[in-house]
Amino acid sequence: MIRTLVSLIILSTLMGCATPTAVPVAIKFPSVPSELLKTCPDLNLVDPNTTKLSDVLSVVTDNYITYYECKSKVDDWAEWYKTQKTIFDKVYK
Amino acid sequence: MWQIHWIIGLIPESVLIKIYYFSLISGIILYFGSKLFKYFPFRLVPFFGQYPKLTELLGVFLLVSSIYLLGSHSNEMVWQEKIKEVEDKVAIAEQASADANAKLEIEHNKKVALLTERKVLYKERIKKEIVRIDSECKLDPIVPKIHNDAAKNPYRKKEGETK
Repeated sequence: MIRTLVSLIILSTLMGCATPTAVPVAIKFPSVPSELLKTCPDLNLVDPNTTKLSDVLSVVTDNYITYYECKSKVDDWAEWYKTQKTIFDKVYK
Repeated sequence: MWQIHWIIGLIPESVLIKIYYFSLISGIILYFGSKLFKYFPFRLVPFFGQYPKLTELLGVFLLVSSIYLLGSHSNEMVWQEKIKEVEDKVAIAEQASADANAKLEIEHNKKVALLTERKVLYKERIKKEIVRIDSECKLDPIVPKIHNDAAKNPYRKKEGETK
């Protein structure tokens, strides 16, 4: 009887301590600044009938600006990811 | 099993603890008492004295179930504490995330403003020097064609193309 009692006490104590392995708290997916969600535009084209260098130069400079706008978006996406990952990792550290 | 925990969860914690300890003490008393109920004068105790085996079983049941419930309760408390800790961390992280986004948005807007300023500046410079730029150079029609071919997005699907 004593043996049964001891076994039951040990078993019941162990069962009482059965726990989940992860804390059931979920973190919301972080939001992104709306500007970064806009896709990059296509490059401008030159009027095919133009013979003026100024027209080509104007389009080329516009395209350079477009490139830098797009580059800033990509850089900001990388920055966003790095920052948000650091913040997220701190929660479950 | 969750139904049992749900029902137990409806009872206030302070009452629960008292019930658990009461069961534990009753279990110990009944179990060890059942050994005495076989002998005089303890066997004269109503019910328990008449059924010492049943008393022993009841004692064991109370002892085991109260130990289980006490263990479960203390374990639950530890987990509740952990959940609270993580919830606090999540709230801080969400605030930090929002702050980081606001900062990033400000920086991005600054870059866009600078680029818009530069765009206007270069347009003006071209406009100012337009006569000089176009005076000595007449472009061959192949130049805009090559430029446009290179500027076209190679990944863009052609009209009517599905894949």
